[in-house]
Amino acid sequence: MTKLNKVHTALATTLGILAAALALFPFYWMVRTAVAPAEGLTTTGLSLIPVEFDFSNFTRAWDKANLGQAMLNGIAVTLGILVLQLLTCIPAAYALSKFRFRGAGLILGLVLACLLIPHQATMIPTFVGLNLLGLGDTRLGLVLPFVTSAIGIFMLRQQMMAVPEAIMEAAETDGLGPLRTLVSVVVPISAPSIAAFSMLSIFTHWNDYLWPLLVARSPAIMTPPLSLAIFQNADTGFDYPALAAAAAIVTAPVVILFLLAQRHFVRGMAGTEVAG
Amino acid sequence: MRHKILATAALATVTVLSLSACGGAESGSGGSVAAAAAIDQCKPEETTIKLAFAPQGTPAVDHAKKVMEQKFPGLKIDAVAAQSGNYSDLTKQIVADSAVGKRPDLIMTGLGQLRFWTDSYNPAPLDPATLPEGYQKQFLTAGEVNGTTYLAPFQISTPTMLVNKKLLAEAGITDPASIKDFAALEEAARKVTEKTGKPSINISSDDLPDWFSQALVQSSGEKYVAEDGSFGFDTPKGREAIGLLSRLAEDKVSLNVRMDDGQAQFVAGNLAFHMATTSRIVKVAKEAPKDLDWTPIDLPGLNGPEGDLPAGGNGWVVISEDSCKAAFSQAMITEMLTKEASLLSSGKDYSYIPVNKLATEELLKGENIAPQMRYAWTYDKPLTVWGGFEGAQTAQIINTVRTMMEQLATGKPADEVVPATAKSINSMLGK
Repeated sequence: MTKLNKVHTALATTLGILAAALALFPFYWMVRTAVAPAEGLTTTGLSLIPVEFDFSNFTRAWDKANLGQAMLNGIAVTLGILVLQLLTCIPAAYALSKFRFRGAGLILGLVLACLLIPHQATMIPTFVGLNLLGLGDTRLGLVLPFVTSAIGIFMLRQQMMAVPEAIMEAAETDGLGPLRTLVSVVVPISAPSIAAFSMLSIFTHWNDYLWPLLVARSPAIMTPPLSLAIFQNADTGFDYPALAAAAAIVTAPVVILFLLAQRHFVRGMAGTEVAG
Repeated sequence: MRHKILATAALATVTVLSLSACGGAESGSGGSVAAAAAIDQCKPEETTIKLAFAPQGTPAVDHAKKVMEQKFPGLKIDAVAAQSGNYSDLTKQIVADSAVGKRPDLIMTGLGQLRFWTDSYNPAPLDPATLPEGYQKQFLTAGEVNGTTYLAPFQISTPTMLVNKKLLAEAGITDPASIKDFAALEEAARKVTEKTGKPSINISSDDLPDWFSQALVQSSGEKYVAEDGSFGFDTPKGREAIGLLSRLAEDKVSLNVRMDDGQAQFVAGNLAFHMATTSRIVKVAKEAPKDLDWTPIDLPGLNGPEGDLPAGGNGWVVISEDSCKAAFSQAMITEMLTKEASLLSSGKDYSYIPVNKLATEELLKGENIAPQMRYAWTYDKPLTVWGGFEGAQTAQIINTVRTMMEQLATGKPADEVVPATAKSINSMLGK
């Protein structure tokens, strides 16, 4: 390694560490607030490590926000959405990438057009429709509007486009039908993109606030972000220690999931390379 | 065959969703609000009233529910608090429910949103004669639109200035209550900053910009909204009043951070003046160390306090479409404003201004009452409605006012910022 390369590496490493520190600092501050005593939160100065530790904020947050129930609801809703999205997006992406049929371009155009429509614009009509179907204030109502995803279809289509025709032809020569080819050949090759999309879907729907705010009224079906709202009062402000503790609990599962799957996520987001 | 059934089901769902999307707008607002029937002609056993409210109202709602169920056997009251204590979230839920025919009969609303409800949902006027003994009727002006009372103030507060007495004393100012006009406030802030070398005052330009700007304008004796509904304070005195922010910025005495952050600095003893609300006093009292010597004072005005301040907090509005439900909703309001209910909604855990005088008297009988809490509980000056511009433009107007406050807080002159804001808001209002 030349001296110049060493300098470049050191510089890149330093910048990387700095960027990571900046990105992680809010998360650190959340945890720091959660483990500090509620009394004197604002009077003990801005020390990086609290003078005293107090973990009672976690029990207070857990009980007051009914986080156990909210986390179970969040898992059910997020996984429900993910499974349905994979079941719709993978075949749609497969059809749009590997089959030539009349209207394919138009359908792809419509999918891309969907990306331009903000979710908020369709929210009230969707809410009205759901209630006509009797699904207001139900877990199914939290899931149903998200059964498919335009970004998912587009992302997976781009990945599947990169699957070489030679592999597809070999599968056909081996006697595999379209469905078997999808399951046995295309899906394994597209695994990084599927993993990346899955992570995006989980983050989005685990953290979604507005749709559950409209649909979920019964305490029994509250999702995690909605349950945190109990710690804000328009007239007196926020209960920051409890809010930080609740936020730490709620974000922990997705952080752990990301750490476990980050390799796939990065590969999936980085490009559409095909292994082998 | 199976494919056909699946395809038909999918088509039906899509059609229903599409049709409902087209029909959504017409069922969104308005509707016919029923005038309350004579309650003795209504059958409680055949009636269910539905409430929509934020969790801070829960203790009083639970109390009133018990009383109502005893008074009217068989009456059902569907009263589950929303999860969020934020009035915008509550409004979104009520609007969404109304759009699908699940309109509540009795709603809590933030006082800043009253015009939205009166302009979009035609609520039933409130009969002041139904209010319980001890209710402080001077607060009803906070629920009035064009001379008609639509809202019963429930948990209310008003802007106030919190003062660190020790920092002021060190700067040679021994009587904070003597600060009654903006010149005295600016002078005191300058003296403290000279002494400490730090910003000495925080008036948040981002949180509650419409409420705080209205308070500064009205405490100076100017109108926030003109008689014809247009922008009211593009006058020499109005500009000078709201120009307080600009002058504080120019003097480099203003901290200009969000209210929570300013509150943290105040509690930590670093800030001499913090513009807050009476409802926040309880939180400051809980968080402040025992040796912090502080007091709330009446908000100063340009030449001393000259006008009534706008009320904040929340109140109850009847939007029922059924006359008997409207009657029971009115009765429910009465029970939520009694001495007992007021003690629950504005008592020791809160520093809302109790709307029932009997509750205030009861609270003051307690021992070791902090003087700051006493200030909040005994505030009995008349209050005005929050805002007052046409309701349909509420969100855009608040954003425009926020921009005005942020520009002033960076030191831009009021003579430049206020006319531009007036022009912009008046064009939104078609004035």
